[in-house]
Amino acid sequence: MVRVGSSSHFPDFGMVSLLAENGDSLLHRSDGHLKLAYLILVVVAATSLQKIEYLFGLFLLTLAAYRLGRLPTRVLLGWYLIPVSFVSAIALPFIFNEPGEPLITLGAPQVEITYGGLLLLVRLLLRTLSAVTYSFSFIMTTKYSQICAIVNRILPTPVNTVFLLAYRFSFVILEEVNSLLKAVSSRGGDLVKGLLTQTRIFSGIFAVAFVHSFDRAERIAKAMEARGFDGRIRTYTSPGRLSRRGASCLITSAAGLIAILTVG
Amino acid sequence: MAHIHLPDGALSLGWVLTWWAVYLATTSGVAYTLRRRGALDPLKISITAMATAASFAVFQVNIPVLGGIHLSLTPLVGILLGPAFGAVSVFIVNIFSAAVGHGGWGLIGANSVVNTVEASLGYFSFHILRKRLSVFSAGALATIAALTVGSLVMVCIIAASGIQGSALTMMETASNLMLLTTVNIFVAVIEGIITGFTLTYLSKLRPDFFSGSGS
Repeated sequence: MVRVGSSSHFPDFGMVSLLAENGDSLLHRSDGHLKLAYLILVVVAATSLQKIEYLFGLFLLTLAAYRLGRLPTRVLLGWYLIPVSFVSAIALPFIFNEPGEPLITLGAPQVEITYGGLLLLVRLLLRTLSAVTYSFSFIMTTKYSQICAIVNRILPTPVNTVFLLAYRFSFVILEEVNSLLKAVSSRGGDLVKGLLTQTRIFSGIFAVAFVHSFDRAERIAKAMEARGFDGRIRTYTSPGRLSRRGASCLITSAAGLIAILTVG
Repeated sequence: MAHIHLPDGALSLGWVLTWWAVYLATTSGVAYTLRRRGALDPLKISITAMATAASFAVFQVNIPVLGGIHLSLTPLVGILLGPAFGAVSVFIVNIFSAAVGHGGWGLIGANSVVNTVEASLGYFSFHILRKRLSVFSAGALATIAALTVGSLVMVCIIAASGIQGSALTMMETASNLMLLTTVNIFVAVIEGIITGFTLTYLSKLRPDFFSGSGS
């Protein structure tokens, strides 16, 4: 039977939030801006590095950062499934027709897996998983208030306002959708067969989720107006300033990356 | 999945920056237009935020059709919010998605270009088709058309940029991705049916969504 409900390959937002708010590791205590800057650096490194040994090293570093945040490793493997499936969907056809030395020959008509194609797949997997692993370290060690302060600073109005409201309420709405799905499941919704019947059931749930969301939006809009909304949502946490030690760590890492890119 | 979110590392740094520039140029235009039109209306902002949160929540749901699929809901969001607020919504959903490993941080620009095309096309084709067809048919066809075009735009982006480290030509890259596009179109049909039903329910429960949609 196929699981009905929120997919287990997506992170549990309750857990993500709990770890971010209550964790007490070196990463949790680090400045949000520094972690964001490192996220950008990891993405640039994952995109620019070419040698497989460097990419493997980057992946190990991001895993070390994840462990430094004292974050659960087992769930991470489950969460890798979606990025790995995206990489496979894009890169899998290339392992057969990328020019290079043939490694394996399959069936008739003959299909060859080439060394170049396999290398492309492995490289892309390492690039993607490095960025994904550090991304999880970032969101699971940064408090909601810090994320709000950073978003308010870097995104333009009204994008930042929509972001802050959507982020706050995505937890609530996800819980509501899960409750609706559980209700359907408890009434035997999992057992229903037939494309049209299944799609009709899910459409009903999604429509209710949207209607409730819009009802909530109207209440929020009235509350915003009552408080004199002027186009911005104010956050009361200071995003803080990058410490001298954090800045020097970042500069050293960036210099290291530039050196690696320049040399080889 | 009715579409694939490009992961980090798929495109070279130069192309990552190019697609970010393309998207930021569009978004800046949208943000400027929204401000000039006085669209800092609390109701529009809160509706966009709630639709964004709802679509992000719904897209995490595993639909038990054909072994389990996930919906993108970009055409539905476009139909409900209009192209301008739809563009803002898909950008934010892409940031949320990147945070949970569903698409790359570096490729938010490229992914948002694809999703904005889907949301805008969903909106315009729904309103054109609605003049002749029922809400269900217009919603389903608009969604299928939007997701099909979105899928082709994604292939064009990958073919133009090239997969990093690949020695294949643009045409070879595009032909490699045709199987993926076929699967995406097939899933788009299912998403079209679900969107059609969802819009039918919404038109009965809250007909005011349709009279006031667009921006």
